[in-house]
Amino acid sequence: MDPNFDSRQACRRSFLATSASGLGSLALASLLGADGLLGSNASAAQSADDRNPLAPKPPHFAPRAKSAIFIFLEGGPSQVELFDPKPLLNEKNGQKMPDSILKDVEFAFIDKKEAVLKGTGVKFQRAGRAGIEYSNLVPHIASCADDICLVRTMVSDQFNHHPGQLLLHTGKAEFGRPTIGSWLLYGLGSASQNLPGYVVLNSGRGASGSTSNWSSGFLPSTYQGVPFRAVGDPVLNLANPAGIDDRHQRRALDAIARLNGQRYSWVHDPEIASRISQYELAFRMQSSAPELVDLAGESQQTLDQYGVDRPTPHPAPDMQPGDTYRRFATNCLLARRMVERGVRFVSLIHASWDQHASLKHDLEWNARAVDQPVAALIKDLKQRGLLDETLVIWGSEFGRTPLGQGNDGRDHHPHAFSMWMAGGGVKGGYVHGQTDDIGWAPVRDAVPVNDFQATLLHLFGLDHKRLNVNFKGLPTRLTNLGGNVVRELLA
Amino acid sequence: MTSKPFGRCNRWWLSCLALTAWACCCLPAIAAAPMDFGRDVAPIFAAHCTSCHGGEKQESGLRLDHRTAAMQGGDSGPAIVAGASGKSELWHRITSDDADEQMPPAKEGTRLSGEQLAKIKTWIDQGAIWPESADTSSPSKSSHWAYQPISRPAVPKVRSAAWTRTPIDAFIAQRLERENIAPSPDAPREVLLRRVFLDLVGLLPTADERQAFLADTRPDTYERLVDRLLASPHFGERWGRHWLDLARYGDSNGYELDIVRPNAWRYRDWVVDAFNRDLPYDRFITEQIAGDLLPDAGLRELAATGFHRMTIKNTESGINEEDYRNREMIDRVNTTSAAVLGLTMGCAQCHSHKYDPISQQEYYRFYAFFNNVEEVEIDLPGTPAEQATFREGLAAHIDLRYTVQGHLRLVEELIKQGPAKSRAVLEATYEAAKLQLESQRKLQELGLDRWYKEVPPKLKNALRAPDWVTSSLKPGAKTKSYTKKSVELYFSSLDLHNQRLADRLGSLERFAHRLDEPAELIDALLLEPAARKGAQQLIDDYCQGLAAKQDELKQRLRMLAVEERYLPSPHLLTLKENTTGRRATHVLLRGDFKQLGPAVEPATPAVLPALTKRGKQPDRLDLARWLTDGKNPLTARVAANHIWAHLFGRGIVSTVDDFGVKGERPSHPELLDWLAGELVRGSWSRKALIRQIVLSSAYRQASRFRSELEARDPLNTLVARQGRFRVEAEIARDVFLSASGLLDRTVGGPTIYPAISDAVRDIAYKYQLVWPTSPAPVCYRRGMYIHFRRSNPYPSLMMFDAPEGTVCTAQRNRSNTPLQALATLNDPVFVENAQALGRRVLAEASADAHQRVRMMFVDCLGREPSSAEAAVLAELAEAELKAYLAEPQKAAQLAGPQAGTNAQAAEQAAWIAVARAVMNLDEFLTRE
Repeated sequence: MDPNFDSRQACRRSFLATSASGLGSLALASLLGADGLLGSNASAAQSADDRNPLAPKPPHFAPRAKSAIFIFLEGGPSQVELFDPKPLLNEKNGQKMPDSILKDVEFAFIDKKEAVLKGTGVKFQRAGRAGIEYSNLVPHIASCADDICLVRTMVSDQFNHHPGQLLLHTGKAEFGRPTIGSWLLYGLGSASQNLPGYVVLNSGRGASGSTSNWSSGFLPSTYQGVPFRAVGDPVLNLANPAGIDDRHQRRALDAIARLNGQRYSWVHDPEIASRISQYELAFRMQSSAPELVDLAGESQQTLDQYGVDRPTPHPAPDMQPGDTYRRFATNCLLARRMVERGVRFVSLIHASWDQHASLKHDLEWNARAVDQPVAALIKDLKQRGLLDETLVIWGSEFGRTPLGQGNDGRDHHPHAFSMWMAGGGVKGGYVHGQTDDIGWAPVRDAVPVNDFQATLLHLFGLDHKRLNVNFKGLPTRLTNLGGNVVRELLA
Repeated sequence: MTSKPFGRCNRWWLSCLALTAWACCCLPAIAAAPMDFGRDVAPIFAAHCTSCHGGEKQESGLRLDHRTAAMQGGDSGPAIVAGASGKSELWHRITSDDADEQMPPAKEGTRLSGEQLAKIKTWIDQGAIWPESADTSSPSKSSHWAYQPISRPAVPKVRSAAWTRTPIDAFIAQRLERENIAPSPDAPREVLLRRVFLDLVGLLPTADERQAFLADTRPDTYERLVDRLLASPHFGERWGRHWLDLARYGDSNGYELDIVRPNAWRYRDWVVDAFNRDLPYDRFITEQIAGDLLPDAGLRELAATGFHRMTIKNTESGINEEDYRNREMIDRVNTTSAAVLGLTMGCAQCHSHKYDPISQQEYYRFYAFFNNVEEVEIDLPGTPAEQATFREGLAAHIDLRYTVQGHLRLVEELIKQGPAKSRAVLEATYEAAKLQLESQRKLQELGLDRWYKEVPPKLKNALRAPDWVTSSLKPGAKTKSYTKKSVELYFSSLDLHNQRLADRLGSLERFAHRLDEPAELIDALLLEPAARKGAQQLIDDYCQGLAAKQDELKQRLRMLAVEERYLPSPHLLTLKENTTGRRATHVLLRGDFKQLGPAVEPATPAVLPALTKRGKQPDRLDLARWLTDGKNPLTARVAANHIWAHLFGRGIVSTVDDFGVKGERPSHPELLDWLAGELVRGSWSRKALIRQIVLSSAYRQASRFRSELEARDPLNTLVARQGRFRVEAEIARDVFLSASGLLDRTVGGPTIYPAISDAVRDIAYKYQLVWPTSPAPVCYRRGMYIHFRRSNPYPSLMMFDAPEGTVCTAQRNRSNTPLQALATLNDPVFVENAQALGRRVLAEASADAHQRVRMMFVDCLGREPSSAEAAVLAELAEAELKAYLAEPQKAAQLAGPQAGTNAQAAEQAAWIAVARAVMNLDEFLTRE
């Protein structure tokens, strides 16, 4: 990768929206004007705008979505207990599967000799105008059925968590590649002048993919996801040091900008102009990020809708300090507030759904944690007229086996699992694909992970093949070597 | 989409039958005449096939311009079966109607004519006779510049003789003269000083060093400075870190569990040391690739093989070990080729390289060199200090774990039995703890085997020992991740553990008071209900929060289990050649570890000079010698280009990890060859080459942008000025530390842990980020020593584009983001440096504001401020002083508790604010 990657990209671009990006010429001009630096040779302000790698860029064709909220249920939620009803599993509970199916498959933990089908303890009910079946573990999500485009035939080829997460987020089970949010920022820029364009909200016990789930890979850190928190400092290093308030900070930044401006007028390195504008953006973030996470302006009704104040049942599965109902619900509400403020991509992570054991208790616990807030998010976006342009995604790196593991668990299952999307130009009230009678594999319309990614980019007006970067000698893209837009999912 | 690789079709036989039938009735009847390859067939191949299947490109590994190669076939087998067109994949493809299969590809829109098809069919059926004389090329010949031998260009004669201090300058000047561009003048001496310090050692010159340099008027001042810097131990740190990017260095395994590699730093130290003693580059590579096979291999050579132990490793339970072993081998191949050869060989993993002449077979032949390596941990005796640290650490750790365990038991029993039974609960907890001691004493007394056989389960289960010890207790158990030495040291430290435990278990009261609760509460819990009186309230309050306490303690225990992995004793991560039960290597079809293709033997790509083997079959040592024998056209060019890129901010080949067909061409090909030649001729001394470059006029140029060149040469490929760029992530930290004076200059040793925010732990998997924050002065060591946890790396490294340490990285990005601004403005680790600088300047400079400003400027930027610059800072100081005089509390917060009176605190705070501003200037983090 070229070290001056950002600059080179910027050079190639047409600058449609210069004044909407970065610092804004006027503010910088006034700073430099104070030192009499605005002259024939000092167009730092314009330069900073031109070089802003996050300046909004036109998509390849008319987009349906402008923002995405990717709700990532880390660990592999059991699709047969949530979205893909398999009554046959209950009938055949405890029976062996035909060897013909088991012959070529692998499991992480299940012993093939002992493997038996496992029934589900849940009931499925029809929801929405199309009467699509949802489990009674997710009644609130079911109430959004008319907006949901449910894919029951997602297919992955990765068997273990971290590689599966890399495939889902970067298009290939390999380290060092950019995640979906990074690609969107790279392709479209950011619509927000005060906030990062790619934000990460963590909850639960922490996802196994950790920072690789929001890495910019070989792209510059400009395109990295930025973790936000609802408590404490919303963004790392956002708070001024003790003894420095905003007035001190402003004075410091003014002095820094003036000195940088003086250096610029001598050296003419446009990177200095970028630096000045990044400091200003940092300063704006210092007020806009706390404002963003401050829920004081939200009505009690809204808070209740999201279930922010619901107590966390005890004991939680594998209890961790961040694993509260409040935290996930608050993150859903924050996601809406981010989208309202122009954030391009929100990664809303909840971990863990890796129920090798205690499936009944832990899955119920998790479902209750997320069901109400997720549905509230969809309805809230809709009510505010944001759902049309906001793609909400529910997904994981894989699903779980129709076979049981131990008394009360299921193993990893990449051969068929469910994901869904809502808003952002997808067809609501629609089910795509069908799995066989036990939910082992698709019988039609399999959707490989790369196809899902191609479709996602398509909704943003991006051709997944054209959105590529030359890396290690190859044009490299989110969809790796695959990817077909699944037209049936589009509204 | 690309078309299907040659040779893989599912409906193979069916379609063959159909096609044969079709061909029989539709082909012109010329079949009977004998075909002459050169006359009848070669022209068809040349016109329609060899642009993709020829000398320059071998799509799917097939080439049709040379007999041997053509008969060998493509990625998945033969294309031509002599005498049987129906069995020949080639025939199938040129007649197929499937758009994914047909050749020439459907998108090109040309099909072979019926006559052409008939000729090929007949030629195959007649035995596919291909005389050598009809070859249209020799095998594996490529005209691509990088595969040609390194030339010995004459140093050009140029007009600007006055400017050319070294031959390097002649090459640069020649090109500039052609373009009619004058080079930039020398940078001001103080800028050059700061530049060469940053480039060679990654630190700032001190004020004294600067003074001495500027005052020295001897003609060779700069030369002597360069020699001094090259001899500095910090040179190895600076340049070693460059290599560690290529070596994908990290202090943990990567992937989900991301288990710590407590001894990875020993390889890092080997690298630093290798640079410092200027280990010749050929030897440097040889030891890392095959140190274990060298006849004189000692610990140092074995440490070098740690290079290929830096590979990420998945230890998630339930993985397919063969799958991940294969991924590790692939990483070793790709890293070797990217780092040493500048080749993107990884592209040939699933199919033959689309652009470079590397077939998939050749990829797996290269893979075969590594396919029989075995990972070995070598026990080191360690220094007595290391051993003592390990024993102490282990004892303290077990002690703590045991306490938390007891504490948790107390909480859980209180939940179960209620507060009325608190004394009984404590007694039971105490008794359980005693079992632990007993178990441990037995272990010491009986030894491992007897302990295992004789001790009752109850006592066995009571043993609190790290996982890696318990897993090795079973007789015959293989200790996988830890060495024998670690376990031995555990046993030899049992005495220490027993003492600590015995001390704790002196009495029930003593035991209870060691639990992490207030003394009054413990006293109350020790009372029977009747005797509690007022203390009952204390207990009731405590019992309110038991559930939360339970969670907290469980989490603590989990953390302790993770921390144990940081403890193992000194060992080296090495590779050795497996001599028994050797694996055969196969082409992996489509890169899939389950789809074994043809077996292959170790060999190097045919496009490069042949390898000389010592024995019957070539091994890694032969490979290493092949890489470094001076005839390899890539190794020296790539190494010289790396060095150039670090000294100018851009390589002569700007795609430093791709010298292949798709990479950028060299901007100065003769210069690159000259430098590569110098490297080889100079006994592969990198210090000598670096010295030559930094002494050149090209290097000494000013980096100021030139408006007249912005349109003509925006990327400065002509080197008409020096590069100007932000320093790397680790150096950003080092610059802060060296300007403030806090820097601890210790070289090498275990990793360090500068303070981090809780927010960082918050995003870790299961919140399990062990971060034993380092005390001063260790926490002030250089950025390259920061513990690099791959799944959750130290945030300010990543903000400044440090590589993730998972794959070979030849060139870092240089982003410019608001998060960087927030880090240097607000992260306590950076702010601490502003505080130190502010205080130091107050202590060392005179009371005059301009003197203080001047000192800060010189210490941070290495130059005097202009009067306009000084004015801005003096103004800031004044405004801040005024503000802090009015806000004594804020002043005290920023200046710290030792600041003295309000006025003194205000003055300190004001100058800290000024220091913070200077340290946030673009120029501060920029190498000009």
